[in-house]
Amino acid sequence: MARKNEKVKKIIDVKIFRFDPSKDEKPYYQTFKVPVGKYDPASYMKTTVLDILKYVKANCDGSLSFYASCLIPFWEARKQGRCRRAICNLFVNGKPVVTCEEPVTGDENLLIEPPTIDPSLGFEVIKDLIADDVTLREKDYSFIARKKLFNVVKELNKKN
Amino acid sequence: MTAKGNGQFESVGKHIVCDAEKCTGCELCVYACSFRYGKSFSSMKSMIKVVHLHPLLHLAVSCYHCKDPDCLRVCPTKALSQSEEIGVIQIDREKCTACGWCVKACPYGAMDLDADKLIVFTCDLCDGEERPVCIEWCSNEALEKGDLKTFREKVNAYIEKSKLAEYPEMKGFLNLNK
Amino acid sequence: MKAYAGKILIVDLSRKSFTRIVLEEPVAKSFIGGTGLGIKLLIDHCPPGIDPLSPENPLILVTGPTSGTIIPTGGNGHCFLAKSPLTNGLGQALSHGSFGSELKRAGYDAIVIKGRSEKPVYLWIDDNDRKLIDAEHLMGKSTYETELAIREEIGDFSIRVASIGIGGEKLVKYACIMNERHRAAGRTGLGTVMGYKNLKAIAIRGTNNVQVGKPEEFEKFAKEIRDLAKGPATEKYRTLGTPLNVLVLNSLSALPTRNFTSATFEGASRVSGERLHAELIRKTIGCSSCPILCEHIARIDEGPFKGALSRTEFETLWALGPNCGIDRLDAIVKAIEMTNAYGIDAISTGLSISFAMDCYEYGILTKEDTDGLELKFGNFEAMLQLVRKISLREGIGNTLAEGVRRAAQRIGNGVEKYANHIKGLEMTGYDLRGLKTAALGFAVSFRGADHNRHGAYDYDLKGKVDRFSPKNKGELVKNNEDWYTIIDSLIICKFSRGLYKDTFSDAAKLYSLVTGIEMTGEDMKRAGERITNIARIFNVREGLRREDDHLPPKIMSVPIPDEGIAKGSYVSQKDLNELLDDYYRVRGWTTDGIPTIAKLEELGLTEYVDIVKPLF
Repeated sequence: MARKNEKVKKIIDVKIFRFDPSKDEKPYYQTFKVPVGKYDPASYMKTTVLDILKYVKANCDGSLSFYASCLIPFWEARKQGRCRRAICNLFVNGKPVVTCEEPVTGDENLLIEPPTIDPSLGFEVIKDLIADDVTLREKDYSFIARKKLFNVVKELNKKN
Repeated sequence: MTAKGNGQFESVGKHIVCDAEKCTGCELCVYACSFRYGKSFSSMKSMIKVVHLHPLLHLAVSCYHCKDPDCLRVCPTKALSQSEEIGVIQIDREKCTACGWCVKACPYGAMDLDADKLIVFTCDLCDGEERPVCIEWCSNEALEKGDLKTFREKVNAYIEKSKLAEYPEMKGFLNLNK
Repeated sequence: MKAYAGKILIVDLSRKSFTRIVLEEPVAKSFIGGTGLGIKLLIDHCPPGIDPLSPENPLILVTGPTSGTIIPTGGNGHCFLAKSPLTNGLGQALSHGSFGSELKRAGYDAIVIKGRSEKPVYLWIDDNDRKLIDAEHLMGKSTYETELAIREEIGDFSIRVASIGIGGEKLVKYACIMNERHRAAGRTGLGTVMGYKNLKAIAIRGTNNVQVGKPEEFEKFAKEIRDLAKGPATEKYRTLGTPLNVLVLNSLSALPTRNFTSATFEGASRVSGERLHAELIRKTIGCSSCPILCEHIARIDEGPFKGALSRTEFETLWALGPNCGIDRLDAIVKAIEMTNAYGIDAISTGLSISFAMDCYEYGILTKEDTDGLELKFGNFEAMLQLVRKISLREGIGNTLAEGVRRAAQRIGNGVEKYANHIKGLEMTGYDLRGLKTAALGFAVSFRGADHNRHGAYDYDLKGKVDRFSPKNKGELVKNNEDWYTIIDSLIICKFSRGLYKDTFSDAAKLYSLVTGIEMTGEDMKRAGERITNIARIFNVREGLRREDDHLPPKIMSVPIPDEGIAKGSYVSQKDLNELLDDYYRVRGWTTDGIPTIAKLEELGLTEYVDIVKPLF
């Protein structure tokens, strides 16, 4: 996050995917106003997607659920053996990102577009941004791959 | 997944293809590959895997070098890249976090995750060796290097010829609404 | 100790409990694995003199040290053992496919299943996890349907399943345990034991790696064997497979026809391997890690049996074909498919049916007894009906489901002379009247009537010896038995036996490379002898003696009637005495066929000396 003595921070709109299967019928997007700091890659000064989520949870809506296995950059966490598998990755504007790495603002502090944050696609949503890939063990991915083999003929049969 | 590409209908370079007519499901290719990978025998830690769909239909499946592949599109750390001439998918050891998204994205099940080394793996054509070990060990000369288009045609032709669509237990595995 | 998983799982179905014990290296080295280790576990865990259909009878599943590796045919075998409800002696059956390698990868060399479950269950082994899961909804399903249903339930289509069918549930005395649709651990009624225990299936998923003792050398050795396996030594299995025996045996007057009435079949060319291949075989595949490729899959594409699909081998084809005087090839394939689905041993079924046909032709069974079926030899519709009746234990099927020995006792009227069995296990497709080396092998085999424990028919058929003479056959059978036992203990495939020119020395080399434990050809030969002796000891303990090393009545009293070189041949009591005396002498056993104390001590089987002591 930007330091306290930084000048005025920009406020941006952030759209976050929400869904609570026990309460909601359908998923929906909720928009929050979040302050973001300057973007200076040289000094690691940036607001990451993870920072956004933490801010929203702390200041806007405490019920927002997301998964974060650590609070430091993943390569540090891996070196320390804390980041076992980046199941905290999410989709932002349709692209897969590493949440503790991905900056929310672009170069020269110009925003490209308001970020829309989605859970990992293709897995069933447990709550908000947590999909059931968090419950999978590493070994389970081999079972997922193995199960797909049974669709190989279907895939090879598909028309363009 | 995100904006699924048309990648799987065209391939880059030559990859391992299996002749469904000849494949006997003996899995010698799986043992040979797992031995090369880790000096032990395994059905999981192998870059080529065999699927048994019916006594008359077995197939060895490996990476098909899709053009514009889904696995690349979906990797959050950009650990995957594709060699332009050969088409092999290359994995950056440092960047791969073993999140498993590429495993989920591959339509064929050719990408797999090594739970011990915490890195994904897929067929690397034995790192450029002249004769990949799977082809070396195959019991019936069913494996060779080829391209996706001819491979698809051959598999479909064999299934037609063997009238496999007539078997109720094949229902889940074939596209019967041709 | 590499290649072995090093663990044995003990399952108690009564208490629903699991224990793990370690497989120690001395035991592994003495008994190798597979059949050898299985017999040792059986004799240790099975109390003497029990009823095979009682909770104390342990069902043992075991695999060999080569399981899960790339050695051609090594990656794939498993063996079931128990006290046989059919013979009351040693029950053992091997099967191939991929089930054995999955067991090894799950981390076990063997599973010992004791007790009896109150309700139907199936055993699910997933690496370190193991559960007994309710199987009430699977009862009544065929073996293949059971496999598909369990795969759906567990959610993984790649798991391996071995299961029983209705035959096992109804306790048909020769029910079998099937895996992968048409691979059977067929003989001696192990499916019956499993059915009695209310165990519907065993499902396994194994994801561990299998390590070998000397990886590079092992791979090189495996490559050599693989290249040989593509050569002439195994050619016949790839081209026609075992069904080529139909015409070969027929030409030598050695193809038992119509329940061993004659030794040639006029319809042989209609059910030959050649015709089978030309008209019905769609594809030839193979077991896990096998380059030989002997599995010929037949499919019927037209006629009343359209859609029937099964792997077709000589024994099953013969038992339901020429043995019953039937020459309708499509009906035979259909019958084989039915025995696979119901989970009953096709050979014993065929022999039970031909026995009933013999009784009917002689007027001892009438249409009233047979529920209206006309059981004449050659009536394939009646044969198919009987396969169903036997599996469901309906009508006459209930008697025939007991096996020919007990069925003959029930029917009475002197029909014992039509019951072709040895020790209660039904005969296989070799007319022993003109194959006297084989006759000795069959008489002394530990399972009962069996060509696979010795393969002595090889000498007779290839003309290496005088097949009509009972002289000097003991040594030949002994050597073959010991070698075949090693094949069944490493668990490699008998069809690959021709690739190991120096039998025991090559096997010892294979063993040393795969496990890292040094073994010489002599050690291996000794191990083979040790295992055959411990098999004998089990049978002796259960009360079998010299009079149980007999031959079926027809073999010993009805000379071959067919014109030709074998006419008039049969095995007389004098012949049998000579064969047995020679064999027992070579084995170092008493004239009653009991291993001496000296022999047991020589082989390191001192702990079993108490079984034979009271007999001297």
